[in-house]
Amino acid sequence: MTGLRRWLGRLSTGGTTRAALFLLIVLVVWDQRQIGGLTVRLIESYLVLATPLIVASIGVTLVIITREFDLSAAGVVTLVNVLMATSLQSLNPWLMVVVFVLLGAGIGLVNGVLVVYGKLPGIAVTLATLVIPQGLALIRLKTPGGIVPRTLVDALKTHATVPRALILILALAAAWLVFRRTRLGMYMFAIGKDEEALRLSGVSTRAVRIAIFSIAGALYGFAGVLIALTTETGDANIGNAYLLSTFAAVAVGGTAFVGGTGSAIGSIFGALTLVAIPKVLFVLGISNWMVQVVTGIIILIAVLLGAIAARRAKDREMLSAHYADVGDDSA
Amino acid sequence: MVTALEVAGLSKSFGDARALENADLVLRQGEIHAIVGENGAGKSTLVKCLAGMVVPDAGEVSVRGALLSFGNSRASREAGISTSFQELSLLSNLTVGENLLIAELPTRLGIVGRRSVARRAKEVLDEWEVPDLDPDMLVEDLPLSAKQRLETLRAMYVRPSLLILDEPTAALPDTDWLFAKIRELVRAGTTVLYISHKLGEIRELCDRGTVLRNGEVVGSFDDSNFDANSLISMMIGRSIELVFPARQHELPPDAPTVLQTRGMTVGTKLRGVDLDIREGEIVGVAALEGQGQRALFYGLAGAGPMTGGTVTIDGRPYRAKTPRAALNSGRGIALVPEERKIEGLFADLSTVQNITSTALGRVTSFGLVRGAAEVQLAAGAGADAQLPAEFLAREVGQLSGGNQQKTVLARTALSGARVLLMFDPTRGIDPSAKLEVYGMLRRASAEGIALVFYSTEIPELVGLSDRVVVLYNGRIAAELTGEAIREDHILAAAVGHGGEIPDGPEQVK
Repeated sequence: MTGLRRWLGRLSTGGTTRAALFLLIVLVVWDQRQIGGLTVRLIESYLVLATPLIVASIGVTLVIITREFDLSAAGVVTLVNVLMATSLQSLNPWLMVVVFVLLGAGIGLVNGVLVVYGKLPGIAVTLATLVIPQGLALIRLKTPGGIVPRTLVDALKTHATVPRALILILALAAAWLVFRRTRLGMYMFAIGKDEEALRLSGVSTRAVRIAIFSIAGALYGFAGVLIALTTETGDANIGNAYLLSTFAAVAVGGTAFVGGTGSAIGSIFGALTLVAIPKVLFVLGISNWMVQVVTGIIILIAVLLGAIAARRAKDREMLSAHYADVGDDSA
Repeated sequence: MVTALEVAGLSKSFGDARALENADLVLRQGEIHAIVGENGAGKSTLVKCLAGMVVPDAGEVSVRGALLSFGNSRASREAGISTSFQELSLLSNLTVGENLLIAELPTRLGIVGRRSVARRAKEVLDEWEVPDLDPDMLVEDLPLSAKQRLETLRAMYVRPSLLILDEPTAALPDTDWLFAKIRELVRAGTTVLYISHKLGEIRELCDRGTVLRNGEVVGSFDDSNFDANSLISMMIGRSIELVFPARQHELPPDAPTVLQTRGMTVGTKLRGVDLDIREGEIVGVAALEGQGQRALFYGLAGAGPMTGGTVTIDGRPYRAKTPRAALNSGRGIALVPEERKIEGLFADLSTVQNITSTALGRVTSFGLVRGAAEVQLAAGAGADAQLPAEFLAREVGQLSGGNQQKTVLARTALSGARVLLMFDPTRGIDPSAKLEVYGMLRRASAEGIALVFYSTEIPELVGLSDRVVVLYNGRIAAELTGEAIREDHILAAAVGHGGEIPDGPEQVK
């Protein structure tokens, strides 16, 4: 029992490590049961399929780290997906991407400004910026359809020695590692831990909040582009799947919803795990209807292990405070 | 004479509460100027106005002749103001080095390099002779005294022209390092605003000082040979004479002990407190901000952790993990918390529902609350607490502070508690409501309830208590009974000043 507890304890210390382990288990099961094993082609299409969720959940991760909430991801990806398939078709496709990423950033900016200057809770503001873009998308495209620029689809999907999607995912991970060591990245962690202390330290916390909402919005815009490229169509109902799965990816990725802590790399693992679950259930011969149940169970396990880690950290804090007391007395 | 800082007519209110009222202050170049005053005198508000964290309602501040623009921390910094805050502005999930350099983190190609931060921080730490702080250590792993030192160092190392230190020694075991560094800065031309309630330190360090009371400047002193007693009476002032109801019956000398604590400890906040509180006794607790009073009250009520010691009620060991357990354990401890609007009451529910919320079991049949019985129960308890009946049906959030307080008292009476803990029960309520609360205290005591109350208003402690316990730095600094319960005695003990009370936290055993 104590051995098991110690093992659980070690497992629960690093959120990202935990998420990597989840993914590894899922992939091993998939590889074992897939007839012919996991081929390069299979992995390639799997990675492509996962890119939109990965990008969107990184955006959500940033906002969660600042101890805010952002529901707008699902709205922005829907609107951008529909616009990708229906609008600006005469534009240079790469310029289209830039425009839609900026559209996402603009919606994120609105979120940030309303939260900061309107002193409104993020969950309320982003509920509006979830529903409004979804509504606009429905007006624009009542039934799924449209055309997505071939150049871009090929850029993501063309078979290569190193899959394009893998390059994209690695680039995102690298960007995260750099970003969290920039001033903005460090203030992002600081604001989630103690906004007032950061303000008293002479940092403009308003600017930090608005910047993070905007970056998250840009990522949602990019995720919307990627949905269009993976599905090669526009669909005004696509966002519903993203509303909860972005948060699920963040949770499975080991980011606690307490602010001041979290990892985009964990969220990448989390998103990859969630996208693999239907595949694994399929090869295991389990009904597709079980996907939600299994996903829910995995989220629960992830959150539970995270809570154990948090409790252990708190115990350590209490102990160190106690020792500090003893130290002061002997001084 | 060069003027380093001039504050003219500064006023600030938070809602109805007046924090600063027309405050004037002039600092000479190169002086160490003390600001003293009781809790809530406006010291921290003044600091936050100067630091650009709070926008005053009226008034002007000029720094070396240049007008300061308010509410802009950058402007304050650029004017040469650097502040160490009382509540510590450190980020626990960043390292010592990152905290030290936070406002101006060094970047290369946009990246904040771990090593360059550590290197620069190490230079600062060495230069300022703080060898025991490791720049790579996370701030959350530091003891409180090291955090305090880091907070002051961060304000000092930029060598500001105006250094503001708000209670910089609250958690600092020895002041030698701090005072030496402050004097070094002053020799190099820095002006210092030193906020403290420790008169010994002020005598040692400061050249001049200003006394604040209720947000107003009420006095000043021009040298360190000030008379401590006259300074203390300036801090207390002569407020409206409130008439405290006299005790109806003498406390019987053989009244049994109800609540007893031995070595009660809460982390570093409360360090080994022994208390004996008898049936019907009213014990007042006096302390300046942050001396462990919250830990004592919340720990006893099960609303906060307890890390050591024992508590017994009527001789039986007691340890509550939650407020509900505290209420139910044998005969019960009830806490009337501070900030009633947040912690104690359900603002949207009716007064009736609030009064009966902890006693619903008495009016419930088959899992349903019997409305008529509930109202009857609440009306009885409300009448005992002098709460006018017309308020019963209203939402508690709409009641005045005094009536909210009576609601809490009525609820507590219904809970049948044996020990009643009241944390600052008269804060923010009007004088007549205060008198009613005093009457309620007396009645509860007459019914044999052991009462412990904390108040920031020292006259209340003097007027109501059978005994006054003064906390300082998490320990009992003085226990006063009978004729010894006097305002000057209480305040002297609370500021760590006075005959048998040692002057430094490290000597307080």
